[in-house]
Amino acid sequence: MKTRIIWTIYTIALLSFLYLPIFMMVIQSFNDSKYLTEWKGFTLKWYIKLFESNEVWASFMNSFTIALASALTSTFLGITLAYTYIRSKGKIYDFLDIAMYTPIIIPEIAEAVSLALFFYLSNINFGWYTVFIGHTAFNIAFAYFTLKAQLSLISKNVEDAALILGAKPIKVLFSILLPIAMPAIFASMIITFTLSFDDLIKSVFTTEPGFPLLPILIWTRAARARATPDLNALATIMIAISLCLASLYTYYMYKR
Amino acid sequence: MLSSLKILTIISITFLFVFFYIPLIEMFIYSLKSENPIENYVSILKNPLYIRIIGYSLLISFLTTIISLIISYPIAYYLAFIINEKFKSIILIAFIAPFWVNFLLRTYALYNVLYMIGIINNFIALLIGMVYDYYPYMLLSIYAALSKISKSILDASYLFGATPFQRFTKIILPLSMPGIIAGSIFVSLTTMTEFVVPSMLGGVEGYTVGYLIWDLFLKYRNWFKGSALSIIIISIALIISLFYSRKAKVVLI
Amino acid sequence: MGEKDYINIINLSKSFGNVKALDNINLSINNGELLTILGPSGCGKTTLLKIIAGLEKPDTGDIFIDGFRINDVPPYKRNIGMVFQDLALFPHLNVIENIAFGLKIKKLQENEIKEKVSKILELVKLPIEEYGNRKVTQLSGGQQQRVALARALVLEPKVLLLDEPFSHLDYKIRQELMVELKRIQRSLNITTIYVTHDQTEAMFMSDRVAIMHNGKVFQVGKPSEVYDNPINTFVATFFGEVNIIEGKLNNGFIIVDGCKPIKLRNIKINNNGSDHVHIILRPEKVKIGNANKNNYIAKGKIEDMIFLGPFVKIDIKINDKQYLKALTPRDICKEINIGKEVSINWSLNDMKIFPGD
Repeated sequence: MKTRIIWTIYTIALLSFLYLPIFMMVIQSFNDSKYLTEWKGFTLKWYIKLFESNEVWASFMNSFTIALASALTSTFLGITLAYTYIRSKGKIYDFLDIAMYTPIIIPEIAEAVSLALFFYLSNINFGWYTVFIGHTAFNIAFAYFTLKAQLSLISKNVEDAALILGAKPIKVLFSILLPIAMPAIFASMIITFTLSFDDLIKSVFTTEPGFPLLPILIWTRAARARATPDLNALATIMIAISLCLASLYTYYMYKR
Repeated sequence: MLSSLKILTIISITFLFVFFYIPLIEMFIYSLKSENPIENYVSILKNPLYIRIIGYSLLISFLTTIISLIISYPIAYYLAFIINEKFKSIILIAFIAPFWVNFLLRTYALYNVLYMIGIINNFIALLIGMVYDYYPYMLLSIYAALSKISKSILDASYLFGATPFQRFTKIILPLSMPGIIAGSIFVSLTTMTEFVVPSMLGGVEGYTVGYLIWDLFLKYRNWFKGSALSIIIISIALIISLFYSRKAKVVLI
Repeated sequence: MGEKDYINIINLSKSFGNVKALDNINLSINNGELLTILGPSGCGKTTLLKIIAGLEKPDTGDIFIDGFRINDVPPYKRNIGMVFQDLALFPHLNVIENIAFGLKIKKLQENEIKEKVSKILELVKLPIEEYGNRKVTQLSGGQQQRVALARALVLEPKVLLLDEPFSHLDYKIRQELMVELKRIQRSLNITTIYVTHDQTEAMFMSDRVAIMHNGKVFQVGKPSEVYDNPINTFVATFFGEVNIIEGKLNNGFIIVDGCKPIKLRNIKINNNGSDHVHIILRPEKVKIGNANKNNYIAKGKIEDMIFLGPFVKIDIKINDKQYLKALTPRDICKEINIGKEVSINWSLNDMKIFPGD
């Protein structure tokens, strides 16, 4: 019995250590004082300052549109690859599977600089498209693994049953496969969206000064000691959004 | 429709090949560009400063992996075997949730707290930050392995007269090995080139090989050398993952 | 092709890589009959079913249904019903939607659909008011199986295919559903192919049975015909219980260790020069008598007796390597115990002689 208490204390202690910094940042975003050490009163002025910043808005919109496009594209391409892998046999498909692991093993910085080199040598202008491509090439792998796990739970007999009942392959896709795979598709979109939205390193090497992105903004401010209090407000909002996405993801992944 | 699927598959593979594999191949070719093809590699490997930075990064990676393992294993054990069933999902989600918050923000939040405490811009702060940001991977990995251990094996060990200590060392620990290995591979690979956290929290002591590559490209504009160093790092990553996979026959995901 | 033939399978072969799954299959199925394809796992029976359904393409051969060659007809146009081993119900649809799926594709009117679904659910004894709106995942194994059957039959297909539909169910439910299936099949008079590895199912269900092994059909016939006149050792052992007695040919007699020489009568064996034979004998044909009887073929010692309700299965050792199983009504066994010496007899007509391997 005593050991149980020790375990519980250890766990609670660790959880507190984990949440304390986040908690403090959230509180600080409502603090009228710039300094962590003093509490001057509740205020929303940092949030207002945030919303008034053009730089923040531009970065946010850019990151958002890219994340959305990347999520849709990588999920779409990922599901075709996952489905093909599951319904096919042969050495070439095992090779494909291994090829999908590489984006996850390769260090992100190495991948990022290779992209920069590639676009430079191909004379492509840096901007929306290069960032999009950089994110998506990586995200396809994540979408693939998420979808592969879930799709493999759908027996081929279910598709065959639909065919025999008179459904043409297109109908099988839209009436049977997609509805059953929908939770996995949502889960994949959430995870690829998050990966893209939060991405820093690949973004730095695939963008240009005229195309700001939110993580780069945060990095510039937070890492270079140019942090302003509205950063805490931004952080709080993003934390709230992340936690919502996290719950949605958990909901979809464990729907069965 | 089967033909549409084939076309889409080919498009997907082409996309991956053109925008992921070809850049890497190009980088490899670029790293060989000079009078003597391996000159870039030689100059890196002969440079004591570079070697020290690479070694330093590997050290950080190693320590982060070990510390994450030591901290996460008890939590995973608690979640798998000790915790009251009612609380299991809540506590598990509680440990994983911060994982979804932007990496930079988490580190920035930690920065503020560490700044307040006074442990900042040094190696300790760096290490705390690395563990703070990377332990979830280790935790999830070990928990997954532990939760697969069937209760009947544990019950059987009681029948054979095993003490709790023996039960741990002879049954639970070996069976959790795949999880430990998978978690270790993932954490060591990703922390090997991590530089955001070290630079934010470690100050001068936070200069790692990731930042070196960054600088070679953006600051010193020596793309040849940068490419060579990247290839070196990629090779180390591939060797580590191959080594671990062979040893444990583990699939990463 | 006979007049009654409804399905004709001619020279059908299929290979997967180096494995020959189907080896020149020729089979005819009569209109309205229930043919069981019986064979061990891996014999090719599921592959055959899938080819008939259109889910796989054969390498060579033709399939005719009602006189039409259907080789090139896609599965969604063949008007065949199929019940899969794992049921393959649509998990995201409820019972009514599962069954109505095929009807909706045919673009029938709402009320017509409702009527047909209602009728078919009645036929499989799952009243629509009670079960219609339930999610299929909430049903028991037996109920799910009924839904799968209803879904296949509601489209009034010309042919019904079943791939080991009851193998994963409890014994009692399996019995119940087999009776149901037989009843429904008879009342609709639908040509049915039933695939299984369970010989009791085969004996119970079939109008005719086809024994398959290693991609070949060894024998087709009524269950009683195949049981009484198996064409080779495999069929004899796979369909019903059987004794295999090893013996040697010698001048028109078969010599078995521990037995009197057995005279061959009008039995031709193609032995390829070998003198090694198998005598196939059903346990119920083995007659046991007093040890000092004069008319006997063999003598042996009782090693084991197993109680089977109305019958007793008796293991008798007749020589060092040979056991005989006898299936005897209980009242005859009153004087027999384990360890007793007995005389064994059987009618020579009840023997089948096949080449030894």
